Amino acid sequence: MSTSEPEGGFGVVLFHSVQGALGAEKLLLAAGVAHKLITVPRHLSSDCGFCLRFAWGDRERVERLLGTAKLGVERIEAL
Amino acid sequence: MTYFDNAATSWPKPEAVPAAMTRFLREVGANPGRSGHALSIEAGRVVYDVRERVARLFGHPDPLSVVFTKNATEPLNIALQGLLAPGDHVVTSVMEHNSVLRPLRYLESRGVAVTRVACAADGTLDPADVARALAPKTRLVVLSHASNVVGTLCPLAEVGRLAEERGVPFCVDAAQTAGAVPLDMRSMHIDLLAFTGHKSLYGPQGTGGLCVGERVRDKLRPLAYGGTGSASDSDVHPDFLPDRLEAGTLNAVGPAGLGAGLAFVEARGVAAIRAHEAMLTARLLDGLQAIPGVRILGPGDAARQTAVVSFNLDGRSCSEVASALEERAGICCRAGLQCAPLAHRQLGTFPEGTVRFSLGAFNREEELDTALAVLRELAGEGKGGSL
Repeated sequence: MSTSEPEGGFGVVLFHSVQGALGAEKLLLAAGVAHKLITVPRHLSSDCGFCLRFAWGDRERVERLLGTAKLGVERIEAL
Repeated sequence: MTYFDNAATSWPKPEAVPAAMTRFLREVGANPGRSGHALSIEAGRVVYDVRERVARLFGHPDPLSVVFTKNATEPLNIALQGLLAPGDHVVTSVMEHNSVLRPLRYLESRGVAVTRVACAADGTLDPADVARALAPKTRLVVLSHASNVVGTLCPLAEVGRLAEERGVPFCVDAAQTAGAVPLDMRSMHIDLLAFTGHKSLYGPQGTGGLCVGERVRDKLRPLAYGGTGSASDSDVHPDFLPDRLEAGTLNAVGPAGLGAGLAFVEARGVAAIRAHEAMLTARLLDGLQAIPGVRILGPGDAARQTAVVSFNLDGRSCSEVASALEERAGICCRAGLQCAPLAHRQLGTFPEGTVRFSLGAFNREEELDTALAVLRELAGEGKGGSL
């Protein structure tokens, strides 16, 4: 996805394990939802790995897609 | 060179396996899950893809509950030491490999009660004997899908169903069958499936794993604690999978190669591989049965066993026969007890052991014919011939 900030800004999905983020990446790719894996923002978590960034305007869709998958979502936050 | 030692490790590997490992080392190489840069993400993708392939192959619904290890022994230790505590009871069989027998012997010394169910003379297990062994304190049934000595297949679905009816988790050692015989965790009621990557999945040595079912996922104590890249603000080990059972940096180049091995198995199809190996096994059994002085151990029936065939030749030790096969025709096989002492006691071949041929997807009928010709020659020379 473009690094230019969308209207409404970005959100991120944090996962217990980075392996969950990679499962989510596949789901969002298949559904055509723009996203990017980024280094976990330090102010949100102390995890060393990466999380999934998306346009905040897609929040409901992202929540719906990840809701039934067993991917260990820790939380979803606005950036 | 003819390779009949696929039950120890498969060889050759599909060309895509070393290619995937080289690509990983040359072009990816980073630590999966420890950083957020592009190479670390790509390394993570490689590993995640292999989790998905493993889950798909074994009918396991959750790729994040596929844990990577260095072989099948390690996940069996995670299952046995992670679930059983003093006072518990566990049921297994005499046909197991030392990867199950030795951890259980250790646990027995720590107060775990162990029942080793006997099998028929050809290694066949009767599920009714497992049912009779179950007790109020039974916390686990652990069985191999197939004997590594004689290839006898275990009736997993029947045992799994009766264990589930009694509320006892079922752990399967699939070292000899993963990729060679169809496996489905759901229909076979398997809670823990331990596999190795370097045999019938055609990956490199140093790979294996454990598929963890929902009923036991929160009960398994890790064998190792350490860094996971997750929850880095805490010195308490995380409780979620796969991180909980994957402390320390993964051997990611291993899963990279294993992924290519799995792709080979998927493309060829487990059913087709099984059919090819059964055809070879039937031809080998027929040939051996026609040689005077050859005694075949196990079922002697390709439909009831894997492509593992054990035999002895009257008047010759198994090591003499294996050496002659290599010297006369470059045939690599295994002689001895194959790390399964109780199975050999059951078969009546302890401590002498057997000659073991174990075939794989790349073996051909002509190779068997060459081996059978050498064995006919040896049998004709009789005891005391020059070897």
